[in-house]
Amino acid sequence: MNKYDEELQRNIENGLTPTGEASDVRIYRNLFKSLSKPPVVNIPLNFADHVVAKVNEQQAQRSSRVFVWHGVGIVMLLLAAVVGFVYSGIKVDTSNFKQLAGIAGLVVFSIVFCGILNIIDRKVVAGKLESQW
Amino acid sequence: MIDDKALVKKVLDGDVQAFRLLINRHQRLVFHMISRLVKNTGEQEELCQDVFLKVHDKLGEFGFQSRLSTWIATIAYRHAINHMRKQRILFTEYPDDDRELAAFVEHVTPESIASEKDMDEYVLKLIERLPPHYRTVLTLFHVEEMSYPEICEITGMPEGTVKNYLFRARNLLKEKVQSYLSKEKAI
Repeated sequence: MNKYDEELQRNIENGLTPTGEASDVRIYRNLFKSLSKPPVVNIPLNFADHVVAKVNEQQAQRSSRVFVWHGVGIVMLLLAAVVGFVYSGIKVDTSNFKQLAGIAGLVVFSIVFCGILNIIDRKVVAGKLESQW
Repeated sequence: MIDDKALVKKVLDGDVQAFRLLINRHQRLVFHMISRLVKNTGEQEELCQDVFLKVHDKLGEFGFQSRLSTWIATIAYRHAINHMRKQRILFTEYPDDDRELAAFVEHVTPESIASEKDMDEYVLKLIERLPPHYRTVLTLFHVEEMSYPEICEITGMPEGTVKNYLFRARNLLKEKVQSYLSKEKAI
């Protein structure tokens, strides 16, 4: 790269009056003008919608993966418990649970209450977060 | 008009309209970057979508050390380069300039583009034949009007290399245009 062209380019780039052959200056000026024109690209009108749809899809995949891992975790926990009981020979004393028979109503209420809370959480809170996407 | 900081905060808070706005603001930049590096028009839109997916994923890590557009352009550039490598498209970290530029001089002869009347179109065609690094710095400097430090940040090249590529690319284009014009004059 010769110094002459380098100087010409630098002067045009910095908005200074370039000194050199008039034809070179003209070509460089035209070239700079052409270079500033953006390449022709076809951006679809609904490009943003496509991206948002992909984000939604990705998030749905991620949450279903989380459910699968939760399921696998619960199954593994139960398996571990069963294996642990079988191999250790521990006998479970269920007499304590028999006392619950006296407060059966409270136990049923607790289970139903937890279930309702869970449903509200899923429908209202999580649903609201998802609807934003 | 909402500034970039407020926009990013809204996107991170889960505002989908803010994300749409972010895409609309920067989609031209991303399409320009991708289209200058990846020739296959069928792949361009998908690659641009992937760039914005990455932007969405990593937006929480963006700490405004640079302009948002510079950060997005960096993601677009790296994504395009990775794609080219995966597709085994000729791309080297530090290109063998002489070989690539010899190909440019050899293949783009004034005769082969004699039908081009418009100077802009002619220059655009010439740019397509330049090595990828040259195309990138030309686009970032002339079309996106980015500064040298910003181009360095996006491409990971030293400033001297960026300047060198820019000067050499323009010099090559000038020589081509010069020979084209002198040929036209002769006709």
